[in-house]
Amino acid sequence: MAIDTYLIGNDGNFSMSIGGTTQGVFKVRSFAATLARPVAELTSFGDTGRRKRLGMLDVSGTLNAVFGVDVTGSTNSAYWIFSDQSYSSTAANDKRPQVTLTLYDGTGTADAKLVADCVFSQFAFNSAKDGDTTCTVNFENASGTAPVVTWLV
Amino acid sequence: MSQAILNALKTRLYATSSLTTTFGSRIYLDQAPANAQLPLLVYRATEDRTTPMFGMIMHQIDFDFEMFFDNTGSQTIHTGAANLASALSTPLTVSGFDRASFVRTAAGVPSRSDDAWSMTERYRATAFDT
Repeated sequence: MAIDTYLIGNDGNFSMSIGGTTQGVFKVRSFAATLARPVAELTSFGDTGRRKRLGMLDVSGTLNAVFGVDVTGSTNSAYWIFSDQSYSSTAANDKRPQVTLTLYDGTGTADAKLVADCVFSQFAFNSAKDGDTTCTVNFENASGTAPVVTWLV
Repeated sequence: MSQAILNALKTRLYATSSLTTTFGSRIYLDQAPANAQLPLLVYRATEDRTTPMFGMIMHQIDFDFEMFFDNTGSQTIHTGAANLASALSTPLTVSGFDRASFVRTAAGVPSRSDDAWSMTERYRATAFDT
């Protein structure tokens, strides 16, 4: 298929859900994700070139985000920030975030995106009196299943 | 830049009695009219930086507040600056934004000319469109 559109950052999007419920507690300015497989060296005597196999698919990366609060709220619904983000087969009890990193949102099937059940391993908060309050969030694949990559352009 | 933020700022300035007691209705955007009575306050947006995010935009707007006082006036120019700080000490409610929050980034230094004192206070407003 001939390519007719080359991607820029503004084509992208970010979303995150926990237990199937979309979370809006932070907005993402930029993300960086690395999709990787470990390489196993299998070269042996008799080979005339290196022999390698790839391992399981993994994803990890960083979100640069701005957090928000609900000033009328009374519940601590963002418990996953400080919880162990553990998995539960009961959706309401599942604290593990599902992260969707979109590079191109065609609002249909013509998307380019990566979806993974992750854990947020680190929140690094920054705040300046005369500036803004930002947070760097590190995520890693955590579900035992591979990230789903859709690239239907 | 956002007209809604400018309108909200104008509303806040005119709703602050300590400012209107001092400046009356002589609070102007960008430029004061010729031969205007002193004291007066002129405010202007000097820069609007927008930071796009996935799902919203952050606006950071720099404002200059320049105030002029008559040399013979009984009110000191510092009182005007203090009243301005009080007016902007709580966030503004702005349609289409979460709020507009002001922080003073530079305090003014009084400057005396032959017919007036002047001083410029600088503030930065931050607002996220919703």
